[in-house]
Amino acid sequence: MQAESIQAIALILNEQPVETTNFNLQVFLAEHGWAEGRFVVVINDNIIAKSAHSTYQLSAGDRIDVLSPISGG
Amino acid sequence: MQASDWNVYGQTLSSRLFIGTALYPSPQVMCDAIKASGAQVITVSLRRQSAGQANSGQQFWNMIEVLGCHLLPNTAGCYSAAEAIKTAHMARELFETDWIKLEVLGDSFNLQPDPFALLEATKTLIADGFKVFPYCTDDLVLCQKLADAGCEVLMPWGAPIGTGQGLLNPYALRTLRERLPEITLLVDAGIGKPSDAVQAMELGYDGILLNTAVAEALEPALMAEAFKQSINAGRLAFEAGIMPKRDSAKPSTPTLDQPIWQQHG
Repeated sequence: MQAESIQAIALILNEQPVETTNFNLQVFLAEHGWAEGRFVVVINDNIIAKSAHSTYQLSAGDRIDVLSPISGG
Repeated sequence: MQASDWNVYGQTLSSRLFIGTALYPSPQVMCDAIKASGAQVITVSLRRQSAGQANSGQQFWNMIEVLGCHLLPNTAGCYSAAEAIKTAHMARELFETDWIKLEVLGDSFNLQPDPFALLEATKTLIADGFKVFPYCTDDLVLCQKLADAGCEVLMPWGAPIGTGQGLLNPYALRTLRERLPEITLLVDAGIGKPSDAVQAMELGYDGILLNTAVAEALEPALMAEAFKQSINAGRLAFEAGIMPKRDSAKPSTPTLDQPIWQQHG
C-alpha cells in the first residue's frame, strides 16, 4: 500500500509566492527562519498572537506577513 | 523622583531628549550615541523582511534591548489613516507597548503630515487604547483638535524631516505653547543643531525628538552629548525666566553715587 503524499499549498509570504507542506504556522515560520525571537505575524490582515502560532493551520492562498523590528526616526 | 523629572503618559523621565535609531553609520555608533545622549526614549519601526534576512530584525532588537530605553514605535511611511492604524496595531504586538509615534504623511516631497488623516487615525487609535504621539505640523487648529481627541502629547515639526532647517516658524510654535499650556509639546523633525533645540526649549517646549542631526554628524556620540547639554540649558533658561527684549539700552552697573555728569552719559 502506497503512503498518501501531502499536497503542497501555495501561499504568499512577505509578498513572495511560496509553497509548503507545513500547514502548521509555527513549523512553517521555523522553516523560513523565524523559529524564535521578536517578530509579528499577520495573516490576511489579521494579527496572529504568538500564543496561537503553534495551533494555527495555514490554508491555500493565505497572505502571510512577518514583520521585524528595524531602526526608525 | 528629582526636581527635573517630568511625566509622559504616566511615565516618569529625567531626559527631555527622544532620539531615533536610524541612519547611523554602524550599530555600534548608534548605541554609543544613544548612551551619550542620555535619552530614555528611542524611536523604532517595523518592516517586512525576506526569509533570508529573518535574523537581522532580531539582531537589531538585541542591540536596543540592552539599552534599557522606552520604545516609541513609529508608523513611518504610511500615507493613509487605515495604513497607519494597521501599522500601529502591528507595532503594539511587536514591541509590547501602547505608545505610538503616529505619522501619516500627505506629501512625499517634504514628508508633510496629512492633518485630516492624522486626526482620523488618532481618534481611532485612542479608542483602541493607544497612547498617541502625533507627528504634526505647527497648525494651531489641528493641534487643538488632536488635543481634544485625547492626545496628551503633540509633536509639531520644526521643519521637514531630515532637513536640519531648525525652527522655520517660531511664531507658530510659540503660539502652540501659549494656547496649549496643559499639553506636553515636543518638537519633532527639522532640528539641525543644538542651538535649534535650545530655541525650542526656551519657548517652553517639554522635549525634543531628533535623529538625523545626531546620526549624520561627523561624531554622532559627541553631537548627542551636545544636544543633551543644549536641551538641559534651554529648559533651565525657560524655568529661570528669560528677560524681555528692550528697544533701548539700560546700564547693568548701578549708577547710584556716581557723579551726576556720569549718570546720564
